[in-house]
Amino acid sequence: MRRRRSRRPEAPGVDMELTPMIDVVFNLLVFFMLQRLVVPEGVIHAYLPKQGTGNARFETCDVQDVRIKLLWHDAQGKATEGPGGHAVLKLGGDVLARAGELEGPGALSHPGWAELGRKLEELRALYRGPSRSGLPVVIDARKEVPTQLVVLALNEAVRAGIRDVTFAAPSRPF
Amino acid sequence: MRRSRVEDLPEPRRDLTPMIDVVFLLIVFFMVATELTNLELEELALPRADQAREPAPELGQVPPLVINVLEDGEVRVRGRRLTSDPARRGQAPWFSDHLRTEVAVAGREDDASRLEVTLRVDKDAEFGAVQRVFEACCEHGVIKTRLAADPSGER
Repeated sequence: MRRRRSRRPEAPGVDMELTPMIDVVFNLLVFFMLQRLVVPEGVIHAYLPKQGTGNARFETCDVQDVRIKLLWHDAQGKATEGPGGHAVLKLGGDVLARAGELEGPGALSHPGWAELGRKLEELRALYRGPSRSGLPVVIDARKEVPTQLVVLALNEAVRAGIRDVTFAAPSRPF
Repeated sequence: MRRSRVEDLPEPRRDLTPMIDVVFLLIVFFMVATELTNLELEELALPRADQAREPAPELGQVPPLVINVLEDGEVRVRGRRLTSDPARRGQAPWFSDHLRTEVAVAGREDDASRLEVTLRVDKDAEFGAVQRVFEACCEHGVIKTRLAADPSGER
């Protein structure tokens, strides 16, 4: 006997709409991935003296070397150690920035840096010494000086076209 | 009137599940890959230097060893905490020992000067910490060093 088909329409199946979920998940993923994006970095070459292994120290420099000094002085302008001091920028005997001037937001734009770059350029042009790579420059920084200031000194040397830059030994007095 | 048989056929549906699976796997892959790359680069504020240039890749060049120096002077290489400060010796593995291993593992004992080091230093870190890293590099014959800097810096 043939069964009679029901005339009632079949109830539609319950479907889960996935599209909004995918959208939300994608947005979250994109957000977290972008958050991890690394800002492109630049580098400044800083070759160390080649002295082999063992107790290698930094290069000994002549009196003729141009020396950028980043000293650490107290408020009275005397050399000090440890916290509480201030950086002082000197090129040879010339003071380019006094204690306390290389602090805060104005440290990067202090006129001493421009002066340093200008003097280094002059010295490079005048150099007639034996070094084939041009005027040798030594950056002599006290251990307490923030790295930002040392990098700025190196930056000015690079800007002035100096190719022979070395760092003085930490314990070497000057 | 009889209904057409075509109308009785179920409406075709696209099954999105495999696509979602594949997309998720791709995303997980890229996230893990990104995470591993970032393991070398610690989060620190680089010093500004407008003369810094993006390093030009050289043919056959071995990727440089990235050494991070945090604000407090702590040294980190591939996420591993090290120290170069004699006052903290014993609290963390000694950096110089680690560098010796790096040079040996890379097979550059014969010519360590080929090993290039990129030094990423926090701008507020004391330069003494950098000097100690430089000394260790010199000790093991590593002379090619580069200081990472933020080139967006103003003069």
